[in-house]
Amino acid sequence: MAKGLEGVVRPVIFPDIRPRPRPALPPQDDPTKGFAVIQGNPAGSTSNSYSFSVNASYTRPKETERRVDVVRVSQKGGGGGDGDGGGESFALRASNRSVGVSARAGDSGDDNFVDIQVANKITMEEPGAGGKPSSRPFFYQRVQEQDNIEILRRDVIVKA
Amino acid sequence: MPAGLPYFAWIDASETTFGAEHMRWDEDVFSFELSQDEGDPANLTVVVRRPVNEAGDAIGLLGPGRKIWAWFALDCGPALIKFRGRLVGIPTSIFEELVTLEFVAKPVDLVAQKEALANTLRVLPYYDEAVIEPERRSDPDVVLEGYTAIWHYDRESHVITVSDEITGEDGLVEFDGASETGKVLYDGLGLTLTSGPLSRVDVSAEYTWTQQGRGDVDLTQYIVNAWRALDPFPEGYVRGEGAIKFKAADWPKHGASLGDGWEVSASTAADLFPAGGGSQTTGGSGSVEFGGQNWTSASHTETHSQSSEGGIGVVGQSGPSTATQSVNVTTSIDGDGHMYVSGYSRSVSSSSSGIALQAIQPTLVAGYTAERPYTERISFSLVADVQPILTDPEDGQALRLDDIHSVNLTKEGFIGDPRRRSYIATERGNLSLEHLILLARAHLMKRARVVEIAFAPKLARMPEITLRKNAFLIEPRVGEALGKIIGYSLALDGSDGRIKCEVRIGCAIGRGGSAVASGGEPTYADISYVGADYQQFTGRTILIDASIGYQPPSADANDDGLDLLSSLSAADVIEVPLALQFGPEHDEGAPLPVWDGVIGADAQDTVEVFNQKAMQSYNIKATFKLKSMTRDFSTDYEVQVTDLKIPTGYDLEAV
Repeated sequence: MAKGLEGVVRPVIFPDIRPRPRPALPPQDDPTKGFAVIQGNPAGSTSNSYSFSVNASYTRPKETERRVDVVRVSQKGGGGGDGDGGGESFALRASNRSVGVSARAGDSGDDNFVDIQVANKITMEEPGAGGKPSSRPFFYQRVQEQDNIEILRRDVIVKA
Repeated sequence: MPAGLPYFAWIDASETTFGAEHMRWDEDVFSFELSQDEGDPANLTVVVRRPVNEAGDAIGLLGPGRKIWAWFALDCGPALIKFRGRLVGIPTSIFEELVTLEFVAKPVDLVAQKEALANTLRVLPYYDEAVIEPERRSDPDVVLEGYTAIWHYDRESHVITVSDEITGEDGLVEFDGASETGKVLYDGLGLTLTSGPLSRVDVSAEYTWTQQGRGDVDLTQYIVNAWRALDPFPEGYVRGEGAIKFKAADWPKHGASLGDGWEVSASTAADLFPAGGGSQTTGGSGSVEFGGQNWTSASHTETHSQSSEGGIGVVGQSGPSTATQSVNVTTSIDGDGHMYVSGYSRSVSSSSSGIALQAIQPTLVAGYTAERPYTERISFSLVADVQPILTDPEDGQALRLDDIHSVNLTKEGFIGDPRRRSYIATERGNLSLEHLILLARAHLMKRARVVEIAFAPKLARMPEITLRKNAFLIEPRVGEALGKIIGYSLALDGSDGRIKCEVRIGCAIGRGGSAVASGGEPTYADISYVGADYQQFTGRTILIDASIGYQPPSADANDDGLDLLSSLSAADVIEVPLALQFGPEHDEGAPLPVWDGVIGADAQDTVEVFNQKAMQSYNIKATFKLKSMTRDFSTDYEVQVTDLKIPTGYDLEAV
């Protein structure tokens, strides 16, 4: 028979006509995953600050220069005598001495005398504005010539 | 011409129509057998006298130029039974006096004809590409899967058609047992049961697709309301609605992930309280008289400063304060060597810190890109209403078709709108379901042809016989039988001169009847208002044909309820509501230090630690979960089908 030579044409449904099954499903949705997260911090810091400072300084004045008259004070009434008389003859007013007197005793012939420096101006230095040193002069009454007072030189500058 | 006379004519392939010129004897036919079985082309085996030339030498049947086509006809009396075929293979016994030639009535354009015919058969629901691999769709044999039909090869025209395996298309050949030609010969009658009928087919199929969709959902209102409910503002904290305690810098930006398949498509946020601060300093210098002395370089400075990152200070949440004071007195020696106070300085500072909370009025629009694998598992059992062969019908054979899978319905476009949650409930899905039913139906129908009856009609009836017809037989021994002609043969043996005719029919053993449709109950509105094209029904049975019906399943997706076909709201997409967590996520180190009364260098360190800790206590972590756009879902549908009504071709119970 021809069947041996001609293939049977009865339809055959091949098993591979079907699409392949879908791969196994992944595990069920994990309830702990897939969350939306909005994370932040609304807090901000505020700060208030206050500061106060005060500074002050004080420096005592210091002599830097003085101007003097050099005078010779001779002893009135000759030399010798008791101490009281002599002490009076050489006496200078306290106000003059207060500004500084320097003396040199001498013996000129029969006269006893002393040479003294009588300050008429003293310059003091003290802190000024801004801390800078500033000079400040102090003036004194000049010594007057008298019988026993001879002005030898005037306005001699003496640096401190 | 006398009945029983065979004709044999070698022909060209183009001689497709039998004519009188073909009623000749190109070969001396000694014997022949013409037969055809269902699904196969007709075959002819002819035994002829070995052809010789005029000189008496043998002629090579397969020699060049020899014709290989032949018309064969047998005069059956009223008509000729004809066969046109092509010589196949090598003739056997070619050195003998009698040579056996084998012919087949197979068209030369078999493939083309099948493909052309298959194209006309590729119609739903009989043929469903959704469950066939794309590369196998061009196979013409696959197309018959859902039909109860089989290829039919016309033995004369070689036209290929399909013929139903239960009911032939070309009519009925009746053998009534009464008329002269309606009787069949006593010999040759046989009845066999091919196998037990298939009583049930259990079908399980999977349809898969990827639900796809894109869109936006405005979450602003939901988030703000939920946030404010969990973290309310003090009265009058901010004006207007929609503000929450947060910083704009921390608010999610465009493109930030919001979960599976979700990201920020648009967002806005601006701090409602801008950062600020400033300071003011006063002071002076000069000389002052104090204690009778002239303090020449006296000076003082006073500064107030304030800074804030923006926000409203939290009541009762002032931070640590610090205060420092220092006094320095310097002395000098004057010219007399006396010590005197020559300098004095004093500084006082204090600071305090606090916490201010920023607020924003945000917007947040979430965008989704859905790629969700969906699967619908369809299962049903189709029971054939057939007569039992076994004493217990439950023992009948059942076939399982459980390896039916679809292609991805989205990629192939069968789903239509890829946003759908159900396929089987759609019109297209119903056709796929009908295809499954037809698939099971085809198996049951074919297997219901249990009774095979062979009988020998008279020669005069043989020209009527084709495999596209049914035959009705009344014979006293078998009673009545109606079946599809599944084979025939016609043979003549030259040794005895007897003609043997045989016809075989396959009879279904169903109980007959028809499936009944029912309207069912509408689930939405009265049926007079809208029909089944608009609303779903319960208990509604629709018929595929008269033999079977089914209840279309209603869409009942076992998913998260997300309907991408509609506009989504926040309420639709929220799976886990918004929750707020305050403070550090993990307890980091020591608790908040005690800072009151700490002095010295440790004070500043303590302040920093305190501030750091205090700030951490305002950490906010908001979490919520949107319905996953990548999750997969699976839904099972148990489909109700009617019993398959099968014609009664033979009543076994009446035998």
